[in-house]
Amino acid sequence: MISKKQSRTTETDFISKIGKILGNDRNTTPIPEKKKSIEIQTEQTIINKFIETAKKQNWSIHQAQSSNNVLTLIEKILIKTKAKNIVRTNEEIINKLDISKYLESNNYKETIIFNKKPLTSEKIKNFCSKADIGISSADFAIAETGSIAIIPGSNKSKMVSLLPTTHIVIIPPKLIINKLEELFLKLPDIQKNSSINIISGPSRTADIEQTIVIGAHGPKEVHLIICNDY
Amino acid sequence: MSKIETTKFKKASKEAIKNSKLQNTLTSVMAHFDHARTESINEFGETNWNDLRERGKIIKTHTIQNLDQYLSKFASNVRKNKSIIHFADNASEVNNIVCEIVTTHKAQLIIKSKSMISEETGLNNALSDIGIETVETDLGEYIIQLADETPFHIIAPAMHKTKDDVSKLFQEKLGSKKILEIPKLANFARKKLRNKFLKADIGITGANFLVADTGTIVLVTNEGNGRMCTTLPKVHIAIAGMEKVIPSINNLADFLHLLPRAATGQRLTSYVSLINGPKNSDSIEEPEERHVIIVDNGRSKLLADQQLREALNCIRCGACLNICPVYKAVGGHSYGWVYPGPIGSIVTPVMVGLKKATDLPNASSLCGACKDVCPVKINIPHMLLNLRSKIKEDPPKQNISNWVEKFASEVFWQLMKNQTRLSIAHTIGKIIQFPFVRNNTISKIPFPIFSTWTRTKNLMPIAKKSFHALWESELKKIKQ
Repeated sequence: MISKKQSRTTETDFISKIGKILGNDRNTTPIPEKKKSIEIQTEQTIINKFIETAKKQNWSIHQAQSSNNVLTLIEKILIKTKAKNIVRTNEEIINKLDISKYLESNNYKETIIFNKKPLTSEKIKNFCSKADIGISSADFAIAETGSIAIIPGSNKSKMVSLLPTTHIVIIPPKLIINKLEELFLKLPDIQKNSSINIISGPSRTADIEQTIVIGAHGPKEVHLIICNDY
Repeated sequence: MSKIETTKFKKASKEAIKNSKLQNTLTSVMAHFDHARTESINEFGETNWNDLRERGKIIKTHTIQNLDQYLSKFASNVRKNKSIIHFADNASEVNNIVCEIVTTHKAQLIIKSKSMISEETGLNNALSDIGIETVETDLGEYIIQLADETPFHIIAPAMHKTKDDVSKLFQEKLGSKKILEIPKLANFARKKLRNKFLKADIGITGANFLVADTGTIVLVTNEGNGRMCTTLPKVHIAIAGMEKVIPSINNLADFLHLLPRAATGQRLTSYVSLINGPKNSDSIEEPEERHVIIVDNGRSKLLADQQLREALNCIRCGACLNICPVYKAVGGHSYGWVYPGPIGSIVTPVMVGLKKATDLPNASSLCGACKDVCPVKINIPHMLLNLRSKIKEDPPKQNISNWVEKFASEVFWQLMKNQTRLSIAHTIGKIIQFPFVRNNTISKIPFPIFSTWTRTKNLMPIAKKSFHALWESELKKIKQ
């Protein structure tokens, strides 16, 4: 029987066509290894560099000495942004803050992502889109570009950093790495993760008259709390 | 394929140059780009920057030389990531694949992040033909979609619109009140589009890089719409030109330094998303299904031409548009197809057919600024010259100016190869030019064909004493 479906280019057709065009006498010299820069930097220089670049990337940077300190900082942000609805991840670093107790006693609505299972993607989407503030940690922070990297899965959420108007990230200094390329070297099995999200400040647009506007579709305000106690 | 209007280049350029409002916008907006790019390169260090550009060039050239192997590696890793890979030879095949996925999922609403390749294929029209609403979510693309226009620039599609234009558009199409400030306009769009993000069934995006050794799709964005389109709907479709592949995840950092700095002068964009597979038990906040469509649509014609193959190294940053004196004067729409500016003047003629786009390779002063700013050092002027000679070898039609040009170069050749003939011509020339010389310039020749020479520029008259005569007399002086 003749199939009514239109004929489709197959992978084999596509790739062998390219192979034929390129032929056999092609330059197959491998890409030379990148020169390793011999840049030895102390942990503190890297942290300082991260803070400097992150500020330029429009993060609000806060430094805290203890968990108590972190909670005070969060409190200030909650009051300033007049937030009511808070969504946070179930990460150890945040649980340690005793934040739930604080939120409850101050009449905030709190949703913890990955607290109760089974949680569906649809439900997380719903919670996060209604939240004023999302609180999470990160997997890495990158000094060179003032970025954080979040790898969703095992208590790490993707939508908490995307849908609420304000995002608060709490990181211990040990997560800060120097260069962007180190990030990819530190992830031995990239394919294990469905996605990796590198975030370098609030969402922005310059699509009207090349004028930079902070706050496009993602968060408008992003806070980074570096807590030395972890 | 989207509408091709490349034959109207001259007419469209003239209109653009006469349009004083457009000229004002171009002057003020284009300055931002160049300033930002220079600043960010200064921060990075010029030597570091040039070393990285060289490395970018080496990596891209190597990849394109071995494209079949890297594509095959990419495809098998996409499958390993449990995403679905498709290959499409041409525009209608791309549209068909997308329409089929849409029909299978009974989708109603599609959100789209900026994708130039979907502009090539005319995807939005194909989807609206089957009754599907597609919403562009990049602010620039959203404005363009509301205005029913095509992108003016590859990374700033609505740069020709002033805030007043946008405000008017929002009032007419979306019933907004009069909004005067840019941040408020952006906020209005944010609110309008948020609902679409939450309701959409399918998200469509392009891709900035495809990583062969991990099957990763890399998206570089600022607004967050790219993250929404790849996260919130149940299905995500990424459409990418076959040249987007890079060999390894270890090459990615290099390109993440090159692209944003060259494009917008940013250290890094607000978001870089590395996307592998769909939802799994470990990460549930992902679409249930992910598709990647690898597209040729004329790219293999560039690949087949050794002289033009380098154009496939392009990472679509737009730096060559921003620096080009021709683009800055005529703007993006004059070029008549998806890719304007210097790189577009190479890519477009090959993709739509050289005969339809003979004006484009000529739309350059060959000043070389594009080559100097290119983050992967593409020799754009060289390829433009190559295309010009291809046009001459295969002229579109034998018209009068072709004939005159041929005759003139024959006369020139005959004169130049003989000193006596040249001297005679020099003397005759001095006599002929006499009635046209005013204040030692020729500003108007009243004869047809020649008159076009003086329409936009003044000519120098033939010198009283030829170089040869001058040389001899000066030599005599020295000997005395």
